[in-house]
Amino acid sequence: MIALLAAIKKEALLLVRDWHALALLFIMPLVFIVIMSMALQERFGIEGGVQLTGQIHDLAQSPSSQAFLQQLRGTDHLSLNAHQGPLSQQGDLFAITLQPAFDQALAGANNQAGVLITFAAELGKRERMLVGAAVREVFAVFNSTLIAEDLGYDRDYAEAEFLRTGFIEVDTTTPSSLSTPTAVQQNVPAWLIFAMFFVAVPLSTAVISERQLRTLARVKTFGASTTLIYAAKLTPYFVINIMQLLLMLLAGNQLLPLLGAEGLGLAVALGPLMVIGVCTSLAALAMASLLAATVSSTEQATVTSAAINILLAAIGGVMIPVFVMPPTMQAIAAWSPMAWALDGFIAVLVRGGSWGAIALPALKLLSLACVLMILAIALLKRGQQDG
Amino acid sequence: MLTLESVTFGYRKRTTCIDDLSLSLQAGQTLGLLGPNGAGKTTLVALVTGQRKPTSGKILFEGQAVELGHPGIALVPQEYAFYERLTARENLMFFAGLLGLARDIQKTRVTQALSQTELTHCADQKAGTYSGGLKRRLNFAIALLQTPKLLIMDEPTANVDPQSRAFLLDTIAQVKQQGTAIIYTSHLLSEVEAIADHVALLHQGKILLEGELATLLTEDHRHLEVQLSEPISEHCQSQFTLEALENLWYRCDLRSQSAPPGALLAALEADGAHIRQLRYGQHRLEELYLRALAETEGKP
Repeated sequence: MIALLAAIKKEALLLVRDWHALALLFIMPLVFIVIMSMALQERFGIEGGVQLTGQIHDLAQSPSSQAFLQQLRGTDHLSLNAHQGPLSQQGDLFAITLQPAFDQALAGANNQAGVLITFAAELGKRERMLVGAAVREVFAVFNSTLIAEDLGYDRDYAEAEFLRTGFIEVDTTTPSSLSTPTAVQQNVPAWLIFAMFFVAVPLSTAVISERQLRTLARVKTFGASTTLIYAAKLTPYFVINIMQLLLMLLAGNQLLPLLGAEGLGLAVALGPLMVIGVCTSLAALAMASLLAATVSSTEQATVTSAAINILLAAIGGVMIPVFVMPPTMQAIAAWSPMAWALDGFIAVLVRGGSWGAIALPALKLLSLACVLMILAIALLKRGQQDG
Repeated sequence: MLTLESVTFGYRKRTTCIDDLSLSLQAGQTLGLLGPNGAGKTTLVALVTGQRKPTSGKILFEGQAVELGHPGIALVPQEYAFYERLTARENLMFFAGLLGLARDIQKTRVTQALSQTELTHCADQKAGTYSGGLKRRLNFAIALLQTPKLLIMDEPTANVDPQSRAFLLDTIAQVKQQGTAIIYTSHLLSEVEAIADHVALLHQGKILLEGELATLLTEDHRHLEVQLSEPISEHCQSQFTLEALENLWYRCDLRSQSAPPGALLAALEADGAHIRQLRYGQHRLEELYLRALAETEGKP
C-alpha cells in the first residue's frame, strides 16, 4: 500500500505540473462547450420546439393586414420582429411581407399573392416548410374567421365548422422517447465525453516517455509490479475524469446562463449520471492504456490518440448530433463508444431517465473497458518480453 | 555472491545475444564489463537485474535465482531514469516509497542519499533544471536508496565533466569499501582500470577475456615502455623500432630486438635522454582489449 500511495502521489505531481495537459483536459472542453452551445442555440432550438426568428413587414397597413399580423405574432412557432435589412445579419432566417395589395388579394380580386415569404440562404428545407406551414395555418384561421363573420358567426364557429380542429386529435400525454436535446443538453455531455477520452494523449505520452528513458525498467527493479505501476498511473487520470464531469456539468448549469445561453438543468437522477460518467472514464482509460501499449514513440502516441479521438467524436455524435445524421451514419455511430456514452448522458439529462435508461450504454462501456484493458495488459507483457 | 552458469539468452525471432556465458562475482569485488556496442552488455545487465529471464542456464544471487525487484540489487541505468518535473527529493521519496519503507525510514534514506551524492543544497530544485553532472548524481543517489549488496552501473559517467566524473568515481569507491559488489560498464577504459579489480570483455554475447585485472595486466613480457626527459633522435627511434606514445613515452617490442633490454636503455641514455619512468611486464587495458578483439576477428 505504501508503494501504491507513493506511486499515485508521483503521478499526481507529474500531472499537476503538466500545464499543457491540464489545459487540454479542462480548458479545451470548456471552450468547446461555450462556443458550440452559443453558436448552435438556434439550430438545436428548431429540434427542441423553440421558435424560428424572422422579420415581418406590413406594406399594406390596412385594418385587415394589421389583424392578420396580430394573429401571426400569436403563433408559437415563429418569433417575429420589425428588423430592416438583409436576412442573416441580425440572426433573422426568413421575412414575411404583407404585400401592398393584401386586401385585394384577400378579396380574391386578382391572382396576386397577399403574403410573400423569403428565406435566408442557410435555412434548410425542413425549416422553410415549417415557416410556410405556420403562416398557412394562421391564414386558414384568419380567413375562416372572416368568412364566418360574414355569415354572422364567430371565430369559434369557424374553427368548429370550417376548420374542424377537433377532427384530428393529437396525443400530448405520452412523453416522446426520442426527445431531442437542446444545444446545451447536446454540447455539454458531448464535449465532456470528448475531453474524458482525451486523457489518452497525456497518459500514453507519459508511458512512452518513461519506457524510453528506462524509468519504467528502473521502477520495476524497485519491486513495483506492472499492476501497481498502471493502477497508480490510471488513478489520477480517473480523478481528472471525474473532475471534468463535475466541472463541465457545473459550467453548463452556471456559466452558460451568465453568457446568455440556456442553462443545463441538473434536476435529474444524479446517481445514474455519475455512473455513466464513471463508465465513460473506465472506457477512456482502457483505450488510453491500449494506445500506450501499442505505440512506440511520443510522437506516435500524440498523433494516434488525437486522431482516434477525433474520429470517434466525429462518428459518435460529438461534433454532429446523431439524430441529424442520415440512417447509414446513425448505424455507424452506434459503434462509437462516445455515442454510447452520449446516449447514456442524454437519457438522463434530456429524457429524465434513471438506472434502466443507462443500463445498456453503461454495460457497453464497461464491456469495452474490460476488453481493451485485457488487450493492453497482454501487449504490455509481450512488450516486456520483446524488449 | 553472484553466479552466472552457462547463461544463454535471445530475444524472440532474433539471434542469440548472450551465448553460454559463465561468470562469478564476490562481495566487495568490482567487475568492469567491457565490450563494443552490441556486444550484449545491456542485455547482460537486464538479465542480472531480473528484467529478462535467460533462455537457458542459471543466474544466482546469494544462492537464489535472481528475480526482478530483488532488494539487494540496484541498477544505475545509462539514461537519466527519473522524473524531470519532480525535485530530487520528490524523486527520491517516490523511489524510497516503492521499497515499502516506513515514512521516517524513507526520509532517513533520502537524506543519506542526498548527502552521499552532495545534492542536499539543490534537493528541492526540479531535476530538469540540473546540469548533466548533477543529473548523474541523482541517477546514482536513487540506486543508493536500496543500500544494495550488488550495484550495477551502466555507463554512469557518460557525458559529464571531469570534475563530476572524479566525484562520482570517489563515491563509487566509498560504496565499494562498504563491501558492495559492483558491475561497472563503461567505454572509458582508463575509468574501468582505475575502479575495477576484475574485468570481463564481452563480444557477440561471449566472454573473450575475463579475470583479475592486476593479473591480466602483468602477463605481458613482450614490451618495454620508457618515459624520457626529452624526445630522442629519429635515428635512435628507428634503430630500436620505438613507437612514440603520448607524454614522451616510447614503447619497444622486445620480440623484434636482438639486443637485451639493458643495452636498449644504455643506448637511450647515450642519445642524450634521461629515463624518468619504466614499465616492463605490464599491459595497458586498452591494449588488452584491442588485441582480444583483433584476435577474435582474425586480425594480426
